[in-house]
Amino acid sequence: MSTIGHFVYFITCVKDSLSFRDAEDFTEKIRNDFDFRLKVQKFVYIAKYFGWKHSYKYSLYIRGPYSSTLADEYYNEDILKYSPLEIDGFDSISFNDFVDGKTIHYLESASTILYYMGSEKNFTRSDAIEKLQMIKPHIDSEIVCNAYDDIIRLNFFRNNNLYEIIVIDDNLDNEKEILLKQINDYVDYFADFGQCNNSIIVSGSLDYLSMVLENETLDLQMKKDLLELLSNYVLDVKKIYDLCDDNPKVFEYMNLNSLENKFNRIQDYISQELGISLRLYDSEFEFAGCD
Amino acid sequence: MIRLENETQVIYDANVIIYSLFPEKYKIPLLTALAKDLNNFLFNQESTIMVPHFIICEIERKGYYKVIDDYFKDLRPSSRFQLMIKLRHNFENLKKHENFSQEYYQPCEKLLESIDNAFIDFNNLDNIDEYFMRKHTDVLNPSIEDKKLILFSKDKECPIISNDLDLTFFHEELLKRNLVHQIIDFKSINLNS
Repeated sequence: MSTIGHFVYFITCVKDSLSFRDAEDFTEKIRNDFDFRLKVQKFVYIAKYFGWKHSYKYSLYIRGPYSSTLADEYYNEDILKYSPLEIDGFDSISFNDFVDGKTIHYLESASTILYYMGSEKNFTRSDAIEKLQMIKPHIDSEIVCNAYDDIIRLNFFRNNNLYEIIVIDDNLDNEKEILLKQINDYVDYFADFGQCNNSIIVSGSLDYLSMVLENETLDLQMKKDLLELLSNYVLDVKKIYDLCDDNPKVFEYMNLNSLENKFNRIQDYISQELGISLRLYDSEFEFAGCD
Repeated sequence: MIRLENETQVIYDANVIIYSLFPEKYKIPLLTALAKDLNNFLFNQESTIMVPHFIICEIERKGYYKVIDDYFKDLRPSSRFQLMIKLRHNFENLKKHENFSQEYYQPCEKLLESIDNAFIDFNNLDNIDEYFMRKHTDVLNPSIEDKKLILFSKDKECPIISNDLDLTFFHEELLKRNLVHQIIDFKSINLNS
């Protein structure tokens, strides 16, 4: 079980290894530094093998294991204002010894190897080199070997039950169809409702998400994460719909900053972590053109 | 053709600003080019573009929607959003220009009443049917922003540049009643020397 308090405690324990000054610096780096976010993701993932039995669900992405629930947590700007809650059993000294001074490529390799070791029996050194060279050609094989040897030396897998096997829901395609229909219904409703800039924000963001869903070819676990994230966004839109109560003037004067911020975070995730589509803000993003 | 060489400051209506914000790829034929040229012309001769706060609010609440809906009806919603993001970005840059001035202005009720009364009288103008026909309406109902803009022009003794028929059509009548300083029809501006 993990709580925000545990996350705050963890971040405080690894402050030096993560290289940030204070809460303000942490927020700034989360907002602007992709490598920093990647490091937080890998640190939390690896920490599981040093006694922090957290419940963040991870899936394997282009840059290694990634948890959207964790991302949602660290994007909260006030996160470090929460009180830290000690993590029972977490060996912070050994953890810091393991990660301190390590490069992003090393952390990416180590976490990916751990991910495979958790799901495949007898994942050998040559399997690690072969698999990582295939999916991560940007990482030198020497780094992969070092990471593999360090993991073997620490004997993480003496207790194999540390890793939870993710149950895959084979009804995802139905869920996706239902969600797509909901999204498209809201796109139609909000496209002209209120005839104001908010109409463009709500219908435009939903239309983008609809395109993403139509184009995704993710594996089941990643798809599940994406559907969860988008369902959550659609719930926020439903709240707006309920609040307006069919009154266009109420809608016109609503402040939708928090919805837009959430949409921006989803776009970052879709673009940087899933690689499905560029963000609307990116100049390379092509206008979809006319219907 | 209206010329602007002697104007040290002018007031912009919402649409004139928005036209100038469109990117090259999605420019509105004639209007975007004219609005951009007008900005450059005024900034080069160091004239100030004044915009009252209620016009800024109008742009940020519904202005983008109106213009995008008028000229880019066929764009799908995500592209409209992308276009609006670009317009907002360009507006933030325009606001930073040293000769772009945002002003707070709130007229008193009595002055607003005088504008209301004038527009009630305009229903009896001989050429009011021409207005109805051009505007595709049967009622004369200018927005609160239009009324405040007229009073702002009078207060600042400065011309409004607008392409809103609710203002331009009644220019002479408003002048006769001493309710406005000047209203310049955006499309009638000639910047050629």
